[in-house]
Amino acid sequence: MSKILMVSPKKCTGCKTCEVICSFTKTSAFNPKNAAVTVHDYEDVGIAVPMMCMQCEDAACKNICPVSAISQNKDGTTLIDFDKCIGCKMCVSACPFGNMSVSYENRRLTKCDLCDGAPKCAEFCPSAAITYVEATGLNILRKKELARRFKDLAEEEV
Amino acid sequence: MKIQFFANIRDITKTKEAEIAAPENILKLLYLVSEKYGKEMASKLIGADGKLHPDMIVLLNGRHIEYVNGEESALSDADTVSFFPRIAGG
Amino acid sequence: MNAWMGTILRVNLTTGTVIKEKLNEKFAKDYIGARGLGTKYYMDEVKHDVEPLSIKNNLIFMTGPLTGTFAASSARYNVVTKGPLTGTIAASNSGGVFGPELKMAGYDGIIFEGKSPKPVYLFIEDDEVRLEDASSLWGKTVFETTDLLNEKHGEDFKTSCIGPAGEKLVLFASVMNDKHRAAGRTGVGAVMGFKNLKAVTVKGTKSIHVADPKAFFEACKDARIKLKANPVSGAGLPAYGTEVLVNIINSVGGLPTGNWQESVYDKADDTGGESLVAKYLVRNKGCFACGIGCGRLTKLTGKYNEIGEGPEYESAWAMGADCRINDLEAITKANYICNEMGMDTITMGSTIACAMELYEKGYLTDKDLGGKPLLFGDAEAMVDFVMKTAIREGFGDVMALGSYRMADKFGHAELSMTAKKQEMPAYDGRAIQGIGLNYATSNRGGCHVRGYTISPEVLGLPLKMDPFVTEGKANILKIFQDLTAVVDSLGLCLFTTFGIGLPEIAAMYRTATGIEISDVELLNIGDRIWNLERLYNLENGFTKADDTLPPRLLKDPIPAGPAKGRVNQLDVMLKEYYELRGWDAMGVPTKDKLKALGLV
Repeated sequence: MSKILMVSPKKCTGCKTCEVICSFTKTSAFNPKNAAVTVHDYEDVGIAVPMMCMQCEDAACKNICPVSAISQNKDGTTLIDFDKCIGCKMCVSACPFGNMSVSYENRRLTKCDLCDGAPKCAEFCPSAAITYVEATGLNILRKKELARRFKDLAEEEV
Repeated sequence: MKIQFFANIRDITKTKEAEIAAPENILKLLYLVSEKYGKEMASKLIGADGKLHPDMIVLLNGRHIEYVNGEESALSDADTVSFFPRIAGG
Repeated sequence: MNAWMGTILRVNLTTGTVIKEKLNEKFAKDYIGARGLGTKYYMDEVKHDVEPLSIKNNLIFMTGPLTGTFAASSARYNVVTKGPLTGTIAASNSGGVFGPELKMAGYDGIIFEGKSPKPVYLFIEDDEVRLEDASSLWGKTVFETTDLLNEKHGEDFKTSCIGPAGEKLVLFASVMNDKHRAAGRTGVGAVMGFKNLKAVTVKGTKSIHVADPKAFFEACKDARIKLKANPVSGAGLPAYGTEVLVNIINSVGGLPTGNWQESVYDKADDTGGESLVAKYLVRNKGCFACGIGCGRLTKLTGKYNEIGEGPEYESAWAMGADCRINDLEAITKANYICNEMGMDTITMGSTIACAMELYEKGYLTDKDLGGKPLLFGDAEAMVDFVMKTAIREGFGDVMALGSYRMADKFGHAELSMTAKKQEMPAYDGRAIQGIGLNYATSNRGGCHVRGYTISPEVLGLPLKMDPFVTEGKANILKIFQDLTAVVDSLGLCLFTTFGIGLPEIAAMYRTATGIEISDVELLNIGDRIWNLERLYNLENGFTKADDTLPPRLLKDPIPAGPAKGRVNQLDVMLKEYYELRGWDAMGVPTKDKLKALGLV
């Protein structure tokens, strides 16, 4: 059974530790804008939501990539082959959650790759708002529900 | 005597304070209170060496017991003992 | 450079020019960053006899080398200037996300000179930096200003600004960032208001690089593990916030009550962290990269239907016990007003408490107050006067001067609970001796976060010291003051020192900057910064006579409670403190001391 990143918005303090350590893991320097995880803080309602790649089964980023640079490994993790990537950013537009971005540091695409099976965001999250857990039917459903609501929210904002 | 509970100790006792008959000294009180409020309380109050847990602050009439007579500090029914976890702020 | 960005922004508000200049690397090495570096730049460029609210005073925003990195709780920046409340050097620091964002735009700090002819704000988006017209923002609250700037420039912009209190030169106005975080003390917001500078809004996309990423990561990880395992930073602060202190400080008989007439408040529990969590907490709020998350996002549901942050312990005390008010809803509301109008909560609450005593004693009349009484315990009047002070309406115009000038105006300066004209916070120096010495010697006047001896004296961290005794207090205070100067200058939160010490802090500094420096040498920089600040105050005419406490603390014994009968024994501690500092009997650093610190 593969593992997934679970997000519990109620526990998130909005501290961005996940963003800081993610950016460091990806670039060896600190800058939340280069992270593959982003904390969306809705202070007026008292909720903060860390968001990262949902590792979609039917991944829009993969489907749209014109050079087939995006693939899924046996655990279902969506990965980018940078040898093939031409930097067209179609995937950035295609992602319904806005979970792909371009790093300011190296101009490369940034997306969550689960840190080769040991995600740093989950390791260092101070309040256990992000955890890396065995995927079960139940928590996958929870995650999908959260993603759906978040997508609705994001669309409302636009 | 009066015993008072604060922060996460209060979460265990579900009460801010209680009146009990004063035992002989603080050490006896620790065990008495542990018995009264159960295992979780015991784990907070009593350390591995059977004495006061190092993460606890116990005040006798507002004085840290260390500056009275430690766990040997004698108690009477007129006394107030306050239990705090190690906390800070500012 | 590693860890530092290497560039300082110099903004002349009089001429409207912005210059990018190279960071003075020697200054950075000798004074680290934030508080130390800001003070060095300030003292090098501004004549000491400048009036705080004058065109010749500078205002400096400065980050530290660890600000914005993976170092735990590395959110902080400092605002350095001459404080209008105290006339001393002022360095107020704040967390949130503004400091890291400024760094990621490529700047270690900003030096503001002169005075703009009209309201402006500074816009920063990486290399693009310009002053913009702020006429439409003038008069707006901190929250409104922040929202309007986000609407105009985008959600990614982080803002530090003043509220109406800063514009109206309230002497204890704060500089607020990310809406709720305050560089609160000494009146830095009034200096910003005088300069017609409403806000700084910034977006940065650059990365912060460190000298040895791998070793730095390991040093940060080690510190984070220790902070998590520590009962204070890992459990107590996250669960209850700073407000958890109300009950323990009250229990040891050190919670100043009724403008310090007593030191035990029978209704303290109503205002404590336990009550705040049970009644109003929405969730914890963490500053940038913070593993502690002591901030309280709170929601009031009764007559004040509002969401906001806080109160912190000192705020809840100043507007609570010190005014003999146990209405936590009113206290929280008053705290929100201070945040949105941009005022220091400690001075605000203490000034109201002082007015309450002046009224109680008949030195202030209904007429002075605008036709109404001001009694201890009157929560509604307290909330009312917080707002009146912010807009300087009625007697609020007098309260806007702080308690010292207010009480002095009515002939009773002795009832102002201040050190160097700044209100002392929530720990009675008669019940807790060392903190009294800290208030008396703090370089920015009455303040607890210059040398937090409450740690050993009440909480037993890192060692237990009896709060009643004076022995050893000068020594521990000096170490704490020096270490705090280092922590403040690095851009770390002082709360990290509950869980980590000099070795962990020095390891992060070395690996981030690549500078070879021993733990002790780093602590010595703290000593240097402390002495630099001291020299500034001495140049400004402060003497040994100013290293003192209100007569109440020295002469009036505590009337009841665990510390009954005690006064602060300042004389004996101060003498020892001067000796340990290497100062002469008048509190002046000796030539040898200055030479050893490289200050001559």
